Amino acid sequence: MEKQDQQGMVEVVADKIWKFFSSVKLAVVLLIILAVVSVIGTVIQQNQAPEEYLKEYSLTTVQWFETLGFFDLYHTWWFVLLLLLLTANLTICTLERFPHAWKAMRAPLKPLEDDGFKAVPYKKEIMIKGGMEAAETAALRALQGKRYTHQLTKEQGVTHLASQKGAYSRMGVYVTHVSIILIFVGALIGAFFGFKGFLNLPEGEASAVVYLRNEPLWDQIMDGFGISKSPVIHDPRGGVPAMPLGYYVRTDDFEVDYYANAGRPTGMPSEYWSILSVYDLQQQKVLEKRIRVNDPLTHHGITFYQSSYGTIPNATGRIVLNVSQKNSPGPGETVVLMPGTSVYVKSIDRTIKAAGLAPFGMRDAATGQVQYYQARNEELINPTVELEVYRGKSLAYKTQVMKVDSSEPSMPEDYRISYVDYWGARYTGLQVTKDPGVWIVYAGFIMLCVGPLIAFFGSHRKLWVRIQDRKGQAAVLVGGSSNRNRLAFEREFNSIVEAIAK
Amino acid sequence: MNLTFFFAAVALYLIATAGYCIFFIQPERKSIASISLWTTFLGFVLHFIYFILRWSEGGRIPVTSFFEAINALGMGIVMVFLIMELRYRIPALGTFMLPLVLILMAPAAVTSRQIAGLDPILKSAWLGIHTSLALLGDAAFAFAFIVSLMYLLQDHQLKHKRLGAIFHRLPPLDVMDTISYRALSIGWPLFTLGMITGSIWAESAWGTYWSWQPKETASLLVWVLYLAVLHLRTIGWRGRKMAYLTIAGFLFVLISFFVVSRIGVGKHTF
Repeated sequence: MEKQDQQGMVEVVADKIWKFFSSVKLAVVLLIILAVVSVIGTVIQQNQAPEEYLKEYSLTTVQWFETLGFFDLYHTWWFVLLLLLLTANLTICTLERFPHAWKAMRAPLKPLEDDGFKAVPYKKEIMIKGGMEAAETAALRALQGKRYTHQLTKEQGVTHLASQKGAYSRMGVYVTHVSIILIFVGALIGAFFGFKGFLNLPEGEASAVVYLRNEPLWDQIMDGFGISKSPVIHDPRGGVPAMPLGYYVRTDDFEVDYYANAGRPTGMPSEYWSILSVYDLQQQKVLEKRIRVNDPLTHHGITFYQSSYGTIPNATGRIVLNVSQKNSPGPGETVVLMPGTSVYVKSIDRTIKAAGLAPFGMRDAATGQVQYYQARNEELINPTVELEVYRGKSLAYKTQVMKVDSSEPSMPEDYRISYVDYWGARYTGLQVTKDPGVWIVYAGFIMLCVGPLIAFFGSHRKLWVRIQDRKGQAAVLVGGSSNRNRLAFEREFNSIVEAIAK
Repeated sequence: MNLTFFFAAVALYLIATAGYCIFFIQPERKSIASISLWTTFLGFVLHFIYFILRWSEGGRIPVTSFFEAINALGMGIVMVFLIMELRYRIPALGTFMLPLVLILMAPAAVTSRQIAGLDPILKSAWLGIHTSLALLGDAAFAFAFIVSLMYLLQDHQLKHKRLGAIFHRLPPLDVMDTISYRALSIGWPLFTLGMITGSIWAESAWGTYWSWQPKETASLLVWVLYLAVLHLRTIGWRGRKMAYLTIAGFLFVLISFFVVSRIGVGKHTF
């Protein structure tokens, strides 16, 4: 007896919880809360340095916001709780309503009785002169013309036509709901088993690790319980934790193109790319790819995105020049030298000295004079090399070559020196991520594309036609209902009635 | 040269607005309404030609600067208006829709109309797909906003038993309620598609389909608000309450478009 009561209690509570979570009102309340959080998240910049916040808000406000988690909203316990509640609500709402919708979708077509005709929102009776047969043909043609599937029954001189279309549209809302759940699941999988990291890799260098913005939760948990060791390498001095890749990635080359204004670089990048090579741990080359923004490299589930670049402070790269004969079309000779050094070039019997290198030089097309400009962070916008050419020990002439030139540099002798590259002084900024959940998220995206379209643009429309003989004429009664978009259905209903009457 | 088409389009919109206002005052002059509709249509054609010319001149879909953004938004709203007007035949819509278009496009008079170089991150086929879907979503929301305003106006007339001029020019309440909901149920899926394509693009560009940038968060806010409105509809909310919510939703669309996009964080700056 007592046990039964207890069971009753449990059931009552379970029932209450179920009812609570299956209500649309709860969904609306949660959505509104999510909207309010979004307002806060839009207004307050997330994850800034404390100094930045103190510039904008008073100390007390900053402390309050800090306590409430407003500076890292989306990782607070209450935000996670909000998403969990939303998921629970969505799941239970779906479970609660889906069976009914499924039944309504699969329900067989049945002729409508008199009571039924009274209840439908749209009905109309017309008389057709040609008799029952003609009315039936007309009705069938009208329904088929609007792509209704129908069922015909005849009893006691009465012809019943039951028809419907768009029954599948009842599934739209569930496709949508499941899509959101999939996106959440995919995001969770990403947080548990994936990571987001970065790697600033200088030209010519290789790395076997990337630096983490967030460690996979799963590794953290397993490590915390002492079950398995996390592969993440923690810097004992408190540096950025590193994730081993299981292979090497190397920047073979990096280059930026700039928008030009009248043939001169403006300093605004139009495109930048890196040539990355992957080597296995035995240092065998596995693959090579030229990556650029919007076109990453993926290897073993880890993807490298071109995201930024920069000049390495105080780094000395190598100047790469090409020396070719003016009167012969050959490819010429490649010459590599460091800034400030000289190299003897046999083919022209001259010694070339790179006397200086500036990150942003431009030649005035009219005067031929080279001007030097300030480049932010020493950005190599238009690297310009000051050259001194020696015949034996004596200086023959000086000239300047650069990446993008507005006119020909002065080349008094019968060969031409041109700029090819300044290599090794820049790094490529790579965004590195592993997200095994992304395909689930994409599956969710596809369903989220399709679901609302089905739900909002489709409608389950039913039409019933009853044809009775009335003194040689056919009395045709048409009734119809639609679960949404009544205005459009009304139009269709009227046009079908008209088509039958014709 | 190309700008001539733009100014001609704006001029035609102005004429159509004037026409629709005259029609609103003297509704018996039905021909003015249809002339205004044709004027709007012609304006739209010129506007579209301008869009295409600018596209070919810049070598990319013109939707990245502030001028281009409001230009495309204006064009999108006119398009939605024309479609809805052809479908529902409510000329009073023009009296309210066209002024909104002109107001939203007004900053074009003072903003830079230069074609600027494109940030490498924006060089992707997603640029056109993502922005047009989002803009069409916004345009449908704008339409729902206008119809809701008209609803409230009509509702106000009824409540005060002023069954006079304005009352007779506006459609019945239930028609406006239905049309506004219809616009939301077109706009929300389009906006959703805009957000999804943006997410996929972000994934291919940055390796993260969602990074809580202000524009993303503001879009989520708009998305969630309209989603709440659509759910309230299923539990029987109609009429005035829906009109207020629809209007509130559009205010957030405006904030997202005109404020969040201009604070300079992330790649939605213009």
